[in-house]
Amino acid sequence: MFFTVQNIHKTWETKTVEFSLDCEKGTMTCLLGPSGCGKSTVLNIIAGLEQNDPGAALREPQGQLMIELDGQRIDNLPPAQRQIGMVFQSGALFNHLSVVDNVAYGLISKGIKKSQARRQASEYLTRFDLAGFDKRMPQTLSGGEKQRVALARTLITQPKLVLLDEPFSALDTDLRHRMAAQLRKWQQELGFTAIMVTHDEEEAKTVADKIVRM
Amino acid sequence: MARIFLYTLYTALLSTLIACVVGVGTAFFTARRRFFGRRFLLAAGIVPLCVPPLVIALGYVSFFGVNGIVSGWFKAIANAAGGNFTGLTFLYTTLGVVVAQGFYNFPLVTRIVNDAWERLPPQNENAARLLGAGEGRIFFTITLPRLSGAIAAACIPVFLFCFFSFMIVLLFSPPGNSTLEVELYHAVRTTLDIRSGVILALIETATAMGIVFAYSYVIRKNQIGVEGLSFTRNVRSRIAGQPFESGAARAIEIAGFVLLAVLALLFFAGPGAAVLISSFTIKQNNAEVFGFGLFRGLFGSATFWKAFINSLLIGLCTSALCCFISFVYSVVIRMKGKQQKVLFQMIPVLPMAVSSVVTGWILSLVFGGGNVVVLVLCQTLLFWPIGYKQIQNGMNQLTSDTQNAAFILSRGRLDCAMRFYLPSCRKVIFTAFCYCFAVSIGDATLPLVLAIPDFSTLALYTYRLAGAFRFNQACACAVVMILLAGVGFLCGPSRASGTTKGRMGSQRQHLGSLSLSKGNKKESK
Repeated sequence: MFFTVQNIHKTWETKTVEFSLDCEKGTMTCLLGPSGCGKSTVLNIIAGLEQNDPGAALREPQGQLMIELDGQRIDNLPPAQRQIGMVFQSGALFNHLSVVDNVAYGLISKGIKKSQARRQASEYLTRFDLAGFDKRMPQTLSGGEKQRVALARTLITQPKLVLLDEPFSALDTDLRHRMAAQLRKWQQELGFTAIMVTHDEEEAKTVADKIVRM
Repeated sequence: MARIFLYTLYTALLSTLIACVVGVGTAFFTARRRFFGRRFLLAAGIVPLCVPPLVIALGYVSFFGVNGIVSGWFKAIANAAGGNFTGLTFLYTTLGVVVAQGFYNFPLVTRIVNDAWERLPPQNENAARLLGAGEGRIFFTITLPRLSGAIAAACIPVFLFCFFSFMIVLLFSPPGNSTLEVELYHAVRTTLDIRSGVILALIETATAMGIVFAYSYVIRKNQIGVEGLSFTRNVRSRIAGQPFESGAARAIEIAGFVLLAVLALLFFAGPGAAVLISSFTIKQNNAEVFGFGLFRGLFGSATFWKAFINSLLIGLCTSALCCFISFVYSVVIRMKGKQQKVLFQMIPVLPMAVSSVVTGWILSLVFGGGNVVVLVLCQTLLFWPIGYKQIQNGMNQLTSDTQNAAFILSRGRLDCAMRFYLPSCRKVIFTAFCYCFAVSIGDATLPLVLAIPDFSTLALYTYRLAGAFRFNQACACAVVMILLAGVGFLCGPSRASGTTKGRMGSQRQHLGSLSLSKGNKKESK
């Protein structure tokens, strides 16, 4: 399997999430479930932004969290080294940076020179129908444009796995469905592996190769 | 004169730098980590507003002075080692002025920056983290730019406090070095050099005015930046407890926390505790006895009671006037729909650009000398913006729908003010009253500048005791003064925050006293 996660275990006051998942390379998996069922928490644990509860690991050694990506254990790595990209529900664009600087941010983190990173980012934006948006500030973008910038910012670094945390939930129904269809098109064109969280069954059916209900 | 101006700028800038570095460092921990003493640190944010600089100066003398507690420790160590140590003297240098001012004001920076930091959504930092940025790069490229407005909004008032600093400079400044405020005081009260006084007052006010305009610009810019910020509660982790931190980052975080804790204990909590300890310490036959003797001595003095009653009456009158003006101003600009206009937002900020010495001097010239009425007027002129901000923050929590309903259902504007705004804001008015009362009680500068014959307040009485080198008596008097100033907060700060429910409301209540309107998001939309 290209991506495997086993024994995610998280407990809140009255709720517990226990979760395992396998994904094939180049596929889109949707985690479908109502609000508050722990979908985003699963993504955060995969990305390394939240810690797994010891849970089952206390009962049996094989109950330990295990995340494997492209044949490599990544659960002990910091988020920056996991080669995972994430698109957040809010887009999480850096409002003090222009669109092109947002997209170039990850390239600069990888050690690419600022001018070169900007050039690459500018070219990359055209793939997402964002040509000419380079100098725009995120506050001036519409909801759909913001999410396209967020997606471009994530994909330009070519992560092995892309996590999408309800990326279209803030958009209106019509735009949400159009964006979902476009996401599917980009996913097939670029061939990235992705896990998307949503509570919209129709959206899940539009984009997913596999749907996992939570 | 240029030397005085440059020295004033120099000490104010250095003090602000200390307050900024320590304050922002502490805000990182209060906003993003949980630890013992976090709430105390945030609560200390009102210290620069409510504890008079005179008390801080006394605390520093008791703790770091030549015969202070720390000097005592060093002397004991030196004696044990067979050496000789005469006591710490750094306090009576520019370093002493800068350290005292910087650490006195850092909790204010912490409080304001903490407020902004708590509202920064963690997604941005997480996004940067997943894009491969290290913790240092995240801080400098994501967190710091987004906090810059809040940092400026915190540092500019601190700079102004230090720029106008009077008591600390008067007590600690080395010979030959003085600030504009102290020189102005000497010019108009000691040497009666009116020409120099006018020039100094003009330079001081013009500089402060420029800074106040910069401040209002920063606040307005920051107000726009508030849009899109998260108002949800971020989960605070324990220190060095983030899953994504490397070993080195954890070590740096722990070291930073320990360093800040030591600095805060030494330069903030230490002097505060020293005031309390000194107030219970009597020197008898070269020995120090712990007891209530100093308080018994104070309470047996008719002069003390006269000063106490004067402080109480002036505090009550000033606070009542401040609250009245603040409430009327708030309601009028709201009813006229002018609360977002720059001019009407600037008016309550302008008193920040005028020093106590200048105000006291000008009003005493206008009224032909200082008296109690002039003192109340001067204090009201300078302190009403503090009350205004509390009331305005309370009013900002009222939705536009509620206000429109009140307009429609009321007989007229006065009726609307009396039956809607006044009851809606009674708790924030009480908080405003407490702030104004505390500031009035702690004000030693205006009574000193006005030089009212046969008149004293608690703050002035404390200053005179300190001036006569009766530091322990001065500390006892300062403790009484702080208790009197804080009595309102002890009676009902939690009740007072009832109108402005939620984190934003309660925090703004404490912090808003220094900032321009952040506006009502609901209304502005």
